[in-house]
Amino acid sequence: MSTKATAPVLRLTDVHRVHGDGEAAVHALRGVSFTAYAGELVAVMGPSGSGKSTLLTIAGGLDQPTSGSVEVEGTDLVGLSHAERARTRRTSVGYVFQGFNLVPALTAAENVALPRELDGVRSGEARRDALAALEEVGIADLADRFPDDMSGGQQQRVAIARAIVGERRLVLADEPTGALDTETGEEILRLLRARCDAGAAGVLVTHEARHAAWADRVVFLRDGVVVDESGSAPVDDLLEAGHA
Amino acid sequence: MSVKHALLSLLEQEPMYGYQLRQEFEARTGGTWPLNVGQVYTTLTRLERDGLVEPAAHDETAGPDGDDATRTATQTQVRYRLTDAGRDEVATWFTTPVTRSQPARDELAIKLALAVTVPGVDVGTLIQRQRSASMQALQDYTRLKRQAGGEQERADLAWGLVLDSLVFAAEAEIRWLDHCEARLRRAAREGSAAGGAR
Repeated sequence: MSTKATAPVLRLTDVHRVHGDGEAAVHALRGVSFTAYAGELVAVMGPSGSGKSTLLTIAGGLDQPTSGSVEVEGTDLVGLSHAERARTRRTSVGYVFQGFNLVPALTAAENVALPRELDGVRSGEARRDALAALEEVGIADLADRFPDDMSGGQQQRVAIARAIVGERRLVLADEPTGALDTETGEEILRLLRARCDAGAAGVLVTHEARHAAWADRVVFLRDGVVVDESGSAPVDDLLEAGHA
Repeated sequence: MSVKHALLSLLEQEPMYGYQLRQEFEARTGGTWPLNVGQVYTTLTRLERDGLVEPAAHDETAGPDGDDATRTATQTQVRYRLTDAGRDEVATWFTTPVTRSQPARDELAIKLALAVTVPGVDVGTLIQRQRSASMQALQDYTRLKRQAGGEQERADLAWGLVLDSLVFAAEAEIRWLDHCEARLRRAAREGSAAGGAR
């Protein structure tokens, strides 16, 4: 048992994910156990097809495991109804994607405020939250710009603001620096890092070692199995599953 | 690493004492390649012999020690400056590419070349262990970068660039290991397919 003082924000236990069945079945994850604590940034590295994106979508409740449990702040997402899961997703989990996924017809502030409004927060308050998040990522002055009028790095900052608005405790990032040049990519990692230093748990999926190196721990995934990790890790929490 | 050229290029800035050269070098490279004082003085002696540096004359030594006593004292109290030949040498150094005749990471490459040919070596584990070790080094460099922060000072910027160099080299090593692993797995698959067809 872990004796860590902080509670895990994310805990995956023996997670399997099989796409399709019979002959055509693809085992994306084969018994992955994985924990991210508050204040920690964990990177997941692996070649394409290793299961790293599946891991992230399952961690965020966007996909369901075939077996195993997925706890976010102590709540097992697997046991929840669709509506409850969607609610947990909105209030606890923030996503950052490679393609930014901003709504082009909305300003930066409106994009960031959107998840708060979906939570039922009044629009004045949602806008205040959005401005605070934009301030945190250093682009408060761009609040009323539209995505098309921003550089890639600025758009990704908006996406990060959207992922952290309203004090979300789990930030999931899938190749967030993919489309950016090295220096802009580094600024994005600095922001993710700062958010984790401020108490969030972060999971960063990447195939770039240079970016993974910003994490406290790096988990290596091969064929849906965690093969190794590096960093100051509570190893017992990481490698419980092992090879099937 | 060319200590000779490093010292010469520092003297391009202004005449300096031996200990100063060492400090200035380490400020720019963050002590990644520590120089010992003895090495600095031996190099300066050789540079003076080759006519690339000379003791600075009083009027050029702006400091308070530029009197006759300095000229006659031990080497540690001598301030050196570039000669014209030395200045040419620096210019040539900065305009000539570094030769890469000696690949830097040959121990690992050789180890892997042997591992895939000598029977009984678990190459997959070898690669993964190396990858973890290289990743840890990369994490350490990145931590240093985070601490380095501001780049107001020119020397901080230089140190930041040296760190980036270490980061990119470690990254390249990890990419190469990934590539080796992928190729070995493909070779293993093709090998077993060929074996099955026989």
